[in-house]
Amino acid sequence: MIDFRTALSVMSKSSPYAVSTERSTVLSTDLDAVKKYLYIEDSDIETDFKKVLNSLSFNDKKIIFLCGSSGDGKSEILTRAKKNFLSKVNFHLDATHSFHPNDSAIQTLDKLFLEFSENSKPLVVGINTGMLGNYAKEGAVSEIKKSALAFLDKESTPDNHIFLDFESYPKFKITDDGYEADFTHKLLNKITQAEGNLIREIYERNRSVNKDKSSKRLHANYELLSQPAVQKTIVELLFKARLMHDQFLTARSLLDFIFTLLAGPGYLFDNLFAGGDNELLSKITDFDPAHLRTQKIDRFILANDLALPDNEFDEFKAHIESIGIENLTGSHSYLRLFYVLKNGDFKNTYPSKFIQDFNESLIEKYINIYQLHRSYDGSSIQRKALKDFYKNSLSTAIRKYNNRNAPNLGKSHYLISELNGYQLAAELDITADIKRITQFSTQSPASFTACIKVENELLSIPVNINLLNLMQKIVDGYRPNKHDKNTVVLLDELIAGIVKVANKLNTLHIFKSNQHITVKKVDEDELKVSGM
Amino acid sequence: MIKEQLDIPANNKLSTYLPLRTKSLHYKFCWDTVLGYFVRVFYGKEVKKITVDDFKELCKKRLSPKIEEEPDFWLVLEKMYFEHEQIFKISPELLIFKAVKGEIDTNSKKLGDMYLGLLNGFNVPSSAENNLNFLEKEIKSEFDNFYETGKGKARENEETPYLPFLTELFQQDLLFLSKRPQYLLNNFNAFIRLYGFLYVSQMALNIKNWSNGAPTSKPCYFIIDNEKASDERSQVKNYGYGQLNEYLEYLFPYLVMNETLQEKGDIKPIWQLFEGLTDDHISKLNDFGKDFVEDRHQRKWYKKPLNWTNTNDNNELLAQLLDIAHAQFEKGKGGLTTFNDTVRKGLLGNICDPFIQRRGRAGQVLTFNQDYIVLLTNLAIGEKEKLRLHELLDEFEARGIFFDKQSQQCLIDFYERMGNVERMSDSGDAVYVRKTV
Repeated sequence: MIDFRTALSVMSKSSPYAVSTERSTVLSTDLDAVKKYLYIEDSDIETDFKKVLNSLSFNDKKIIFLCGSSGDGKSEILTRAKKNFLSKVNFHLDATHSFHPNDSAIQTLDKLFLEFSENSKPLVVGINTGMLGNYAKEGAVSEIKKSALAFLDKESTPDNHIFLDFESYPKFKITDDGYEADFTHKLLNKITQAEGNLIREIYERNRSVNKDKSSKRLHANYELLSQPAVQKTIVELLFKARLMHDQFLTARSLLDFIFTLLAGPGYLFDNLFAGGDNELLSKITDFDPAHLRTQKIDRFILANDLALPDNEFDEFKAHIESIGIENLTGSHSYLRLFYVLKNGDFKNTYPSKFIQDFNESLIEKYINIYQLHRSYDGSSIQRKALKDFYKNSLSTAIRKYNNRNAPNLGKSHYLISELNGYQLAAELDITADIKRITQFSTQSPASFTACIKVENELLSIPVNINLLNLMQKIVDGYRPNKHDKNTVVLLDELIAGIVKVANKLNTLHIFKSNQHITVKKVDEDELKVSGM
Repeated sequence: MIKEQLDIPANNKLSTYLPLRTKSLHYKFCWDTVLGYFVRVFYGKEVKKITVDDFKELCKKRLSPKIEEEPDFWLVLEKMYFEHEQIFKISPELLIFKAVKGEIDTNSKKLGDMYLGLLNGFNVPSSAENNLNFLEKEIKSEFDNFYETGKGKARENEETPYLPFLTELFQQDLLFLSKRPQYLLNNFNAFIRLYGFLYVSQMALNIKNWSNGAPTSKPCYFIIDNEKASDERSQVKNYGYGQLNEYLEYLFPYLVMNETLQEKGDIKPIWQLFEGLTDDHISKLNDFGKDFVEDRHQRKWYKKPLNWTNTNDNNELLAQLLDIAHAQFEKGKGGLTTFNDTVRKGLLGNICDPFIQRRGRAGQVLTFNQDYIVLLTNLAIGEKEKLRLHELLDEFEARGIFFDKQSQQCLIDFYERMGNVERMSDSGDAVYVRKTV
């Protein structure tokens, strides 16, 4: 029987199993079994892919492109499908794969497509989206270049070129009551579920045999990962990395991520925030709760560092020792442990004391407003909530940002420019354009489109979580400067649009110290000035 | 093309293509004046001797009847727009006043002529004023009243552009900017500095390559200004500052020889001169070469004896002519090296300077700062909404700006921080970059 750690190593990106190829020889029967067990059958894209394959007839002159990022699982799906469809379809597993080492990837593809045109069978190609883009530019077969370009530009493609893209099957979905991460959830479940779980069987057997320190830690990590609360926190962190850092989640990176959580150098909660060469971990370090500073957290760190007596905490410590977490001393490690446990009703309630401090209100607020934009039903409750966002967050942020150098201006005045100490401003009415919101329904959870009406002009702006965060900070008094480029660009674009509207108005206001001059253009020959 | 009467010039003088002269005081430019001088031609305005103050009076005359009831309002407008150069923020065309206050100094005029040569007679209609408020519109209308567009002569001395590829892009980028007057106003100076560098650097890198037809964009590697320039980066090391510095040495001698051989007022680039050489010119040019070498020997401008070899091959002939011009300035060979050093230092220190940084042990490197990257990115994307990273880099390279893999990564990181990228997958190839104007 194989060792637990060895069994898990199948998930590591440095394992030979991280890349799927057609192997005739078996590396290890045990590891093969683990790998096979871990595979999540019939994902949405695989189901759709099989449907397309089934619909093909022998003489169809069609090419099916299965595209995605590296590590998405293209080859895995293809090797599985190949067994069943080889008789009627030609497979090319890896677009860059060639038997001629001197050929470039583009040349290989050229050959492949030329062969296809002489052949009668349909063709299936697994290709990285980036590679497809390169082919669209440099390739030789113009028909395919054209289709690839159309696909990349999200336009319709001819019937004989079918594109299946992993990105059209988002790993995260915002639903009516929150969000879901189907793939991640299924995978975590598969690794930890209680019944019919090959990995758990190996774990159970190993636990009674291996009693050394590092094995014990590995076992404790597995126990932690099996907690639904911990899984929930992990999914939440991954979603945050996706929304805030645009981090792609692929099957390979996710498996390696879980492997590092379990078999990394420390306990799961420390591994989670330790960074490292996994791209997901490197993004998650930014969310390390040990960097949070609140009164309660500071007080805890102080008390723990000074070893002040705390009965409740002692009980908690005793409890975690019972699941194998021993000799934990650092306050930061404790905070991270509290953080991963925050979502559950753990037997000991100690971590729940910090729920307020670990508040994830931003992500919740984002999802809430996102949902309102996507499925606005016209009800008065939703209407009120939307208006509240537009008035108290969006408009206020716009005004405060626009008037950042003119805080003296009133609530309806918007600064156009400051000329030698004179503030030139216009009075503007900015309101939510709720009717237009539903026109911008979106699939991607990355952003929603906010619609406003400035006087009679309609403006819109894509809002992602970072912009929402920035607007919130501006409302609270933060003033970004020009070097604070991140996401300010989006806001600047909107402001430029608003100033354009302001410049068209026929009444302007000029402020200097206590003076307020109003100039009104009556007609081509007369300007009416008041307040001199 | 080739002069009827080929005399041996007593000195090395240059008045075409580049503002190259041999005293360091010739490299003191007033960039504002250059800009004003350029704007006049770019918008096709005629030459008028009118100052900002004259213009202010005209505006006052125009507005007074409209504000009869509150005549003091003019004083407010005067303070707002006519003090501290605020007037120039209304429209790029108004920058013209920067060049007409008094006479234009020769240095700036020569530099201005370099840009006009690059512009090659291109001009655009009066700038759109859709983003002005009604007060500013009055001022702009008054300006348009007496500075009619399309009346000015394009250029005094017509030259064939030395770098047709760059001229085409320069025109394209200017057209793009002229449709966005506010953005142009904010970036005009940077834009002019950018193309100043590109023109000088690509001229230098192409100067020796005259036998292969029209110039093309030659590799010139930059780094982003917050990057490290380590020795391991071979492209940055081999095709960066060092390469440029090396090639700059040939600009002055080669262009002087080019000019010496051709009829005044009809000077063509070296590559066109070469294309136009026929067998009829051979004996004349051989004689000229021989006399030139003799003359320079007498003036002691060659430190080492130099021989002229008669040849019937056009390519060898022109190469030899350019060579004997260069030998006067070559280290160890010529007596005029200090003059050419002035040219090189003048170009590096006064035209190319925004893109050169001294980096400790790595020496000088060519760098791009973030503001220039944003400008360049917007120009490269142009009227399109977004470009794939690869296409964007191609556009950069077409303009003579190259980045190695490491810089490209740095570039993506920068765009990501700025929030103008869209990813289609985790692969670096599938990144789209959006423009920010």
